[in-house]
Amino acid sequence: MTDDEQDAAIRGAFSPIPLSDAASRRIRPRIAVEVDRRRIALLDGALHGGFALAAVAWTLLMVVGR
Amino acid sequence: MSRSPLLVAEDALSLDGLRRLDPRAFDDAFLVLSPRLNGWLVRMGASRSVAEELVQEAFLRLAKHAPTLRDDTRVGAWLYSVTRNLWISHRRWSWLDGTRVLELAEGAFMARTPSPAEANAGTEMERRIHAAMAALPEPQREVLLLVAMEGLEPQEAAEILGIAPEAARQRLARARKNLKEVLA
Repeated sequence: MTDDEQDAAIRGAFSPIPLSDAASRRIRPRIAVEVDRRRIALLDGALHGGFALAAVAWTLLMVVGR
Repeated sequence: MSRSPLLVAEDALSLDGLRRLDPRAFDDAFLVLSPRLNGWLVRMGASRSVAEELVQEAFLRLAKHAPTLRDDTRVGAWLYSVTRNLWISHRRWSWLDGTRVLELAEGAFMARTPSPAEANAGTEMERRIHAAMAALPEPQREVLLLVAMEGLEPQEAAEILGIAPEAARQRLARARKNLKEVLA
């Protein structure tokens, strides 16, 4: 048996194993929640960064304008 | 030569969608890749419940790191790498946690014992391959599963396993030789 033939035999014998329906139903919403949480955290960070930048710019303008 | 099963699976995914934290991209990735990761874990000796827990954790980590994935990231290989590290970490802690010893023993038993479906289905050759793979030392089994089952190059398997490419090639050669001897 060549390596390629052996690999093909292994591939044939070992197919992927789907998670149980119960596990899938439990895990998929958790991933969705984590994705939402991550997205909100990034938006929140961007918003705070934007505010901080605007505050610095405004302060500079005030100083220069005086 | 045909494309590797993992590459074909990865074709169905949107790296851009994952990086944008698009929930649909994550759902697609879960549907396509979770059976592969779960199968690998079970064959490495994880119990079904542990495999489910680790697959979930791997995808939660994907959600955490997705925005920083590079253009050339192979999501399947990335998830395999994370899953394998989680599996190693789980086993390390299992030895320190007496309550998990039984779970680990169950997993080790499952790695060497085909599931009822596997025992009943398939040809005589498939049953022999299951038994022969289960008898391989774990380092050889994991590299052979990645290369033969997922069609990864030894170099790619080495990256997932955190070892030098030459070491992966040597393990692979030993695994193939041992398997051939058992199957002969």
